[in-house]
Amino acid sequence: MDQLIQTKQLTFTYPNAHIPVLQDVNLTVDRGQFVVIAGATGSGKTTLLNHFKKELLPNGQRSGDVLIQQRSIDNFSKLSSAKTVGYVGQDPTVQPIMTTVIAELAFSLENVGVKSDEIERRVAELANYLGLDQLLHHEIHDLSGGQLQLVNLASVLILRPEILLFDEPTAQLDPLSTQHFFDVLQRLHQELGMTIVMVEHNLETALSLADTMLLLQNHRITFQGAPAVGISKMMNDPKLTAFIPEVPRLFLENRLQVKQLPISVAEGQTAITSAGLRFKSTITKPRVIAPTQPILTAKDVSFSFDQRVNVVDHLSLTLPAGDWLSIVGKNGSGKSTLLTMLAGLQVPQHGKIKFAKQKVWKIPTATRISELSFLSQTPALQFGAETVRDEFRQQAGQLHLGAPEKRVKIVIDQLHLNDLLDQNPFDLSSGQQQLLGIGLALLANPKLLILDEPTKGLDPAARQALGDLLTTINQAGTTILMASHDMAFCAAYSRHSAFMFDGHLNTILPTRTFFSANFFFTTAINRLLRRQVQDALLVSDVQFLSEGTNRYDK
Amino acid sequence: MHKLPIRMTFFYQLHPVVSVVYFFEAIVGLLLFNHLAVALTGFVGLLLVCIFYKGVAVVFRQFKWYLSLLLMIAFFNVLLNQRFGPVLYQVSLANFTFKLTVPALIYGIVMGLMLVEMLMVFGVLNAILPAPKLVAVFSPITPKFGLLVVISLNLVKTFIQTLGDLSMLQQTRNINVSAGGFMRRIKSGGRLLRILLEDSLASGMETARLMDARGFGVEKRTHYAAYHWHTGDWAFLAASVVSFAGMATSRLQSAGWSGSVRQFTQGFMGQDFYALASLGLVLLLPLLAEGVYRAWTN
Repeated sequence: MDQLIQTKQLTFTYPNAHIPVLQDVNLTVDRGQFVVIAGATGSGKTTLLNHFKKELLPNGQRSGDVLIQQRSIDNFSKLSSAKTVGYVGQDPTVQPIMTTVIAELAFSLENVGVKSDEIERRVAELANYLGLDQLLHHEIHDLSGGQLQLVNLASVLILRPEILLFDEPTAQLDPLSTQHFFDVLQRLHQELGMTIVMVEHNLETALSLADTMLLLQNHRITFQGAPAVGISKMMNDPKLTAFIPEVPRLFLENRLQVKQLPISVAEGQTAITSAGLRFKSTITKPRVIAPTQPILTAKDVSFSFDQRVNVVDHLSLTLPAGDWLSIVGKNGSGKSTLLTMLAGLQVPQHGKIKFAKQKVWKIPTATRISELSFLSQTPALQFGAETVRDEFRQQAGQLHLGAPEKRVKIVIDQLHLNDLLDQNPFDLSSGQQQLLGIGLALLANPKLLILDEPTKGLDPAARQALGDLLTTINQAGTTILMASHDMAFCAAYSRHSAFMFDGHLNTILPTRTFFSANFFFTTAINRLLRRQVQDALLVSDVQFLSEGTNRYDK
Repeated sequence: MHKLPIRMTFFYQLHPVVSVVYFFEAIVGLLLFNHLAVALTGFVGLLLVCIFYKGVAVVFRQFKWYLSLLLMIAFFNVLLNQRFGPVLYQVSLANFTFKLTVPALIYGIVMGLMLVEMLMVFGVLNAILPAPKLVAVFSPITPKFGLLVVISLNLVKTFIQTLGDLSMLQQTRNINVSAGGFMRRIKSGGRLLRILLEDSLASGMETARLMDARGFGVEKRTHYAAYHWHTGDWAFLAASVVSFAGMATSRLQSAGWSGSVRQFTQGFMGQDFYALASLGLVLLLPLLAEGVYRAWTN
């Protein structure tokens, strides 16, 4: 086999750390493999990925060997490295340098001294292959997150690397953009035989495309092989069970014996049909909640950035106290703009928004933040102190809390932030920043909590813990309004859901009705089992009933 | 009239080098003459050009701002130029006598018009020559400088956007730059700037790392020539150079220029016709070229 990446006894320790983040890592990636690295947060996934490209090597103490194309990574020149290994990161907005798409694609080739005619030929070929030809003269700032990440991929791919590295490339994309991005990766893998190595929390789509899974546990590789086998192994580690995608989880939790554990919805359907598996509903009737007074109302609200198109267009909303409403929709559909207006941070050009019977933007800021908390999708822009501890102290001071130390401690404990208290908020990982942002929002014990993409950057275990925490808070009386791309999270926790489209909210429905009526924007379990249990959204909504006659061998 | 998308116009499709030469000629041309008739010709010519390329709505919106500038400049000129005559109106208050003179009024209007014209030219330049095209002109000469300009432009754009987001989101921390006393606002502004710098530094480091990963600094950068020369470019360049030469010749013959405010006593003076015709031709050249280009389309 043609070995492209090899590590031998790789051990790495970050400066000032006592325990190595990677310990005796031995692995081999052959040409044409699609490898997904899985593991809990802090297991060293990103550190390992960064060891495969010279320019990304982290600072710290390293021992062992890293070989790329059977040459030590230290012997790679910058030119060879650029032409051999491509890298696409998590945040699509950080990579671009130039102002237009065509200039961005040319940038990489200009760096390595390719002549103008050849640049044009390569740009033409790649833009047509990836369907970027209509975007070539668009400004980078005007692209959606999904388009931008595709341009980032193209600007790496144009150097024709042997290996593509991805660090959670779809973490900030909506479900359809995510699917499109993975479709492109599948084409690159299948049509061009590209070697792909990816770190990903959302394993559902990634593992259905990958042929190899690497499992990192306790800083070591504990498994390297077929994803279906690796997932079964994850079931034995309580830290990793939350990471298992919905479809294989259905089979594992119900102890269904199949020839090969299905990962995708299509594989799941094939397995169910072949084995004639039958499921029954375990859904209990939802508790009927007495109607409450609205806590927030919006009437005929419109907002435009450029005075040409309304991002939010004559939107009306009544949010009853105690509700938990989730808003889903594509990137750029106006969800975030709507939430900032509902939180009183922006004033709409038309319409009225009332919180506790007052125009929300007219409530003095100090009063407003003690009753209504807001988490932005870029929580770092809400920070301002030197340490995490000081962030909490400052916010507690602004809120004039009765027993600030006690309240701060409760929130820190609830979000498991104790180990981060002395760190600079801007140095935290995106998931940790998210938890800090949520912590600051919860500090006020608000009547209304508005959350924009609360699960962004969180691993599945942290996401589940957050869902449980928010459920407790909601049951204690806090109203929650949330915008999210995370269908499974919305389906699992919120009471009502709505779709943001064309500047307004479509009919608000009970969450189960909403997702079971959807065809595309729904959960994997609903797509898999809607013919048997129409309103099933989660693994816990169904129970295995019986097997047919044409089942696989036990 | 339905406005043609700017990307479909002949002027926009010109090679950036030709556009740069043209705008250089137009700007120099506007500085060559200072008579009222020529300034008015320049204003009308540029108004037509602006309406064609930017649309009536945009021009009307900007016009309100331009008019206030023009009136302010005319006012100050009238106020500060008291020496020459004829006097249109005079008023005395104690020891101070204010004279509204014809030369001061005409000179003030001309100066105001010249500033407005300059702003109009830069407005069209901004639409026809966006940053990437401008950089494409300089990149073959100094690729590093070109790249630096692009990065700086992007940085400014990102700074402005982030600052807007920051001032909005920091309200959740009871930090509001538009509320409270002066000192509190200064303190809040300082906090925003510190966060902006910290955030920009963090993302700038990551961007630099990713530039590095794409081979930046490996060897001498090449330049992708995204724009190609066409017959129309040569024709427009030739026409603009000839018109500019005509304009320069008329200026050398002292057309359209007075050396003293005293001489500004009438709207149309001496050999103004040549200055007026040559400047008008330079400014209207893009519109004439659009017509010829349309006539040539199948």
